[in-house]
Formats: sequence, C-alpha cells, structure tokens
Amino acid sequence: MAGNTAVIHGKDAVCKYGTAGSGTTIDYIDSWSITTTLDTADSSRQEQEWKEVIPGMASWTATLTGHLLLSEASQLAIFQALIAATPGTKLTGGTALAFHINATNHYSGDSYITTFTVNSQLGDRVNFTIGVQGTGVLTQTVA
Amino acid sequence: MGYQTSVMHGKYASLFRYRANGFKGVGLNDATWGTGYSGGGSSADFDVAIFSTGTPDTYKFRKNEGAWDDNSSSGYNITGAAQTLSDSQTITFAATTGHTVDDQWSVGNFDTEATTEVTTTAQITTTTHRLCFPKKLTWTDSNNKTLFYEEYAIGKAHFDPNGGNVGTVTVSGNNAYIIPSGLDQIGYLTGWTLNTVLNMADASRCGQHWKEYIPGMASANGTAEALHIIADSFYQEFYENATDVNENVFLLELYFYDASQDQTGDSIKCWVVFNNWGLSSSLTDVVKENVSFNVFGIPSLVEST
Repeated sequence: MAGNTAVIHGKDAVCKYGTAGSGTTIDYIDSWSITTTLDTADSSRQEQEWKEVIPGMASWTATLTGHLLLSEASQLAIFQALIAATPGTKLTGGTALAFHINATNHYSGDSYITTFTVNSQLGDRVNFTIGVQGTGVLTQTVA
Repeated sequence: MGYQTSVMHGKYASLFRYRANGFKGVGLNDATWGTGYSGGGSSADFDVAIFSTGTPDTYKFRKNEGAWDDNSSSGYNITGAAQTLSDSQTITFAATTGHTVDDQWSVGNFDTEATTEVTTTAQITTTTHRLCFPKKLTWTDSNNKTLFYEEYAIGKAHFDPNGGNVGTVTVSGNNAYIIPSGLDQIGYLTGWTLNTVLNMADASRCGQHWKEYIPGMASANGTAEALHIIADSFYQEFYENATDVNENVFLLELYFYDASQDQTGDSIKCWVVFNNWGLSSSLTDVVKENVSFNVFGIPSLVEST
C-alpha cells in the first residue's frame, strides 16, 4: 500500500471543497480533525473473564477551525449549507469535503454541516469552528 | 460591496441592538408608539428626540429621516397623552419630565412597500427598510403564492418553492420595521459569539455498515460580553424577556468587521430572546457583564455595504 512514508507536518495538510481529489483548498483553515467511531455490541457471556465485543455500525465526524473570511467562496458555501431557509444541504459530489494530508492522500465522504460557530473577541482575529457529521462511508484515498 | 477579503481582527467587531420602542439613549425610556399609522399607500418611519428639558420636557420629530420639525425651535411639549406626529402616527410619553436631551425613539410602518422578486422569493427593495419585526408583516403576492418562510432580519419572504414564481409582491404592517440608525450600539463591547446547530436524525438500518443521517431542525444561540455600563447594559432586555407576558424579541446586528463602527461591515442579523445575564466584579478587573441569547428563527448573513 502506498501513502506517505515520512511524517507530515500539519501545516501541509489542507481541507478541500469540491469533487474529492480535485477540489479547491478552503483558504484560511488552521486545523482540522476527523474522528471515526465503530459501535460495538457486548457479546460477553457467563464463565468468561474478559469481555468480548462484536462490531456494529461505523460513523464519522470532523471539525475545522480557521479565520472567518466569507469572501472565500468555499467558506461561504459551507456557512450556507447550514444557515439557509432550508438548513441541511448535504455536501456530496461536487460539493464534498476532503481532508488532505498531502496532495494525493485524503479522506472524504458525504456529510452535513451540523455546527458553525463564529467567535469575535477584542484580542484576537475573528474565528470560526465548523462541526461536520458524516453520513455513509468515510473513504481513504491513498496514492 | 462584498464580504471582507482579508483576515479580520476582533477589535473591529461591533454590536448594535434594537431596544424597546426603538430607543437610543441614556435616560428615561417611557415612550410607546401608536399603531394607527395611515399612510395612504406610502410607508414611513418616524424619529422622535427629546429637544429640551423643563416642565414639561419637549420633543422634536422627523419623518423618513428628513429635516427635524422642532416647532420653530420651541420643541413640542410632552403632555403624557397620545400626541400625533403626522399621518395618524402617535407617540405617548408616560412622564412629562425626567427625559434626557437627544434621547431618541424610532418606528417604521409599511404600506404596500415594494419588494424585489426573484423566482419564489421577495425582498424589500429599500435596504434601510429591511430590519423587520417578526409576525408584523403582511405579504401580498399578485400570483397568490403561499408564504413559506420569512427572514425578518433582512426583510425577505420565501414562498412555496414548488408553487411557481411569485408575481408582484408588496408588504404592509404598522410598527413593522426599524431603520438602521434607530439601533443602539453597545459601546463597551469586548466580544460576541454565535453558534448555529443542525439536529440530525439517525437513518441507519440493517444491512448497512456506515451510519446515515437526515437533517432535522436548525437553531442558533450566542453570547455577548461588555464592560458594564448601566445605561448601555443588556439587563433591561433580559428583564423584559423574563417578566413581560408578551412575547418580546430583540434585534441584534453582530458585525464581524465594522472598522468605522457605523453599521457598514459584514454582519449577522438576528432576532433573539435573552436567556441569561450575568455580572462579575473582582479585585483586579473592571466590572463586566455577559449575556446569552437564543435566536428566534433564522440568523441572516449580510455583506458589507
């Protein structure tokens, strides 16, 4: 399996908006994270000492933080995916998010923007935090 | 003009708010507006300001932000009864004395106000008439489309998205909007936040490996912090939310970037209900207040003008 063979610094990671693998870098992001979770069911039984589990369904969430700049088209599109007369536009296909660790290796999937927080304080730049709920599979693309 | 194209520092933020009866000032706020405006087909907004103090105090007024009428430099005596400005618009002061010069009240009335229609939406054309009060607007569409949703804070109506285009849309309603200059700036703001949330429902089912979700309802809430100045405080708005039997909502303009502090930057406008207010004092810091709120309906993003 290919993929990075050297440690990657976070400054080289980006989040892109658009068709996975060919999207546009969302500018002014300063961090992102992905969390995948696998539900498990307890299959433990009497006469055992150690619990056993069996896998259930998986899910994933993500967060992005950055400087708010709504003239940046991708930021505005993400904002409007939540804050709209009909909230909850699914980010998919040509409007999907892809989390890149480098130019060719990334993680992507269909998602919804479920939180968007703007923070404007006297001593700092205007910041935002976005919460993402994946719906369906999180795909790892390795080149 | 478009959104800001460079990173914004929070020191350029600002917050403007609607206070009861469109009050702007530091003194006694005891005026109430009459609801009997009769414009004969024309919308109008009125400002009333305290002209002088005495026995009684006097006021001046203007219509549609025109020249002030100060009764030939005498001011109009405050009587304590309903007093007619023009076009059957009245104002009533509870007290005839105790006011502060230059304190001001504002109100706006729609009468077949024009909108700009785009497919299934209509937005009030005059930009300074777009800060509208919830549940006070009557939209009329010549194509009789069904009203679907209102964005009060930006004067926009969404009609049935599956019902075809609207025709000519007008809006009416007394005491239905506030002009931007009628909002009061929070003078000692130190910061604000706004958080929007979309509830999701789990649509996962047997046979799948990865969960699926469908969107539910969205909501927003936020906070604001300021150095505590009583005349500038949010306390009165919180108190009204807590004690008034009428449904009270308050308009906030949350500016990300307003370098000249004159309501011209990128902002989010929303009607809110205040649900928490606090004050803190310590040996080593100034007295500060904080307030939190729930947004009533949708928050609206507006780019700088």
